[in-house]
Amino acid sequence: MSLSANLSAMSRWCEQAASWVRYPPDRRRVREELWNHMDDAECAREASGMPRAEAVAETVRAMGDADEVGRALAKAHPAWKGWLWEVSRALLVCVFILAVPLLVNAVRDGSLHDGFYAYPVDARFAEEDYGTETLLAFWEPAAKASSDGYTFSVTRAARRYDTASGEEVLYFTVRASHPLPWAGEPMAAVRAFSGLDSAGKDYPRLPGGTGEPSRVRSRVSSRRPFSWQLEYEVRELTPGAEWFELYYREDGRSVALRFPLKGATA
Amino acid sequence: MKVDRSLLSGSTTLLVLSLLAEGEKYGYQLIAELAARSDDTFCLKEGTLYPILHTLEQDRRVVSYEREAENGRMRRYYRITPRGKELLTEKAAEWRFFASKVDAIIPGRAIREGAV
Repeated sequence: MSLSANLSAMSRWCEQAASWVRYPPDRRRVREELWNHMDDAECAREASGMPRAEAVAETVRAMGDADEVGRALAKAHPAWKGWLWEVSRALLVCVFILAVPLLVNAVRDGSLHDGFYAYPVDARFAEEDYGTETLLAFWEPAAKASSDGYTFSVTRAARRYDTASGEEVLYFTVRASHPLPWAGEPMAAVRAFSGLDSAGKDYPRLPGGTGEPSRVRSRVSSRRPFSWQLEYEVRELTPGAEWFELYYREDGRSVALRFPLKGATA
Repeated sequence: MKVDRSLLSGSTTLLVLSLLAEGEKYGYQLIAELAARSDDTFCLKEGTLYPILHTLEQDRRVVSYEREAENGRMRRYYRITPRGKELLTEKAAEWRFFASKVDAIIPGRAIREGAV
């Protein structure tokens, strides 16, 4: 038999044995390993002085029956295991592709926390009478704005009438969320937001200490992973105002969070 | 001395694990050492080594990894695991027990001890 024929015989032996392994990646591995073995064996025989053609023929003979070896290899590499791994991997990729954007959105808008970390509801939103204040209206505006990676959303609002001062008071809750755990509290939102209503009235921001009556008060009422709840109080609200806007315009950044007002004037 | 192959077939796993217990080896190296250390008594069909190695790997008795050989080709080495060493201990004990019982019965021993 010619040398090329013998080398083909080595290759044919490998292919025949490996063909019994049904799962393609396993089959490739088996074929390569068998070929490397035969190559080592053939080289060792040649190195011992055997002529090349004889070394190749002896190598093929020494490997045994290709089908017998192949059947035994197929038992060691059941195809169902390989395909199960492929299906599991594909499912995992699909879940990851679908879940990550959903998770990022849920973290951004804070809705993830409604399921896991419910924020407390202040009595000013829940009670009909709160001190000298009477509830005029309660609603959930769902207004949103973004700035510096934070997402701000107005989650609930209440309009109340203070019988002691004769003024309308607006209370609302802002949820601030950020996808990065190290982002920190949105202090600008707490300290620097001012207000504006549809009648054109401006509500300057805190802090006080200037003698000016403050009209927008805010505080961080709760903290959760990735989000904060801020409570706002706006006094001397213009009766009949149709919307209210929290805004911040400084240092080249601006954000405006506008939401409709509801409820009749007392 | 030529030995009946059926005597070898049940012991191949024991022999492979014993060689791997000495250090990492690749397939052809296992075949060559098996033949050399047994004075060519244990000359199994070389292809039959791989179903044994792959089954041991599926059972986590050995692990394998690839490393570049002198000829530049990637070669797969096998290393025994702690689980593999447990199996080796079991198989070795089984063999010794079996061998001792066979030894107690076969005529040479029996004649020496005066039973036959």
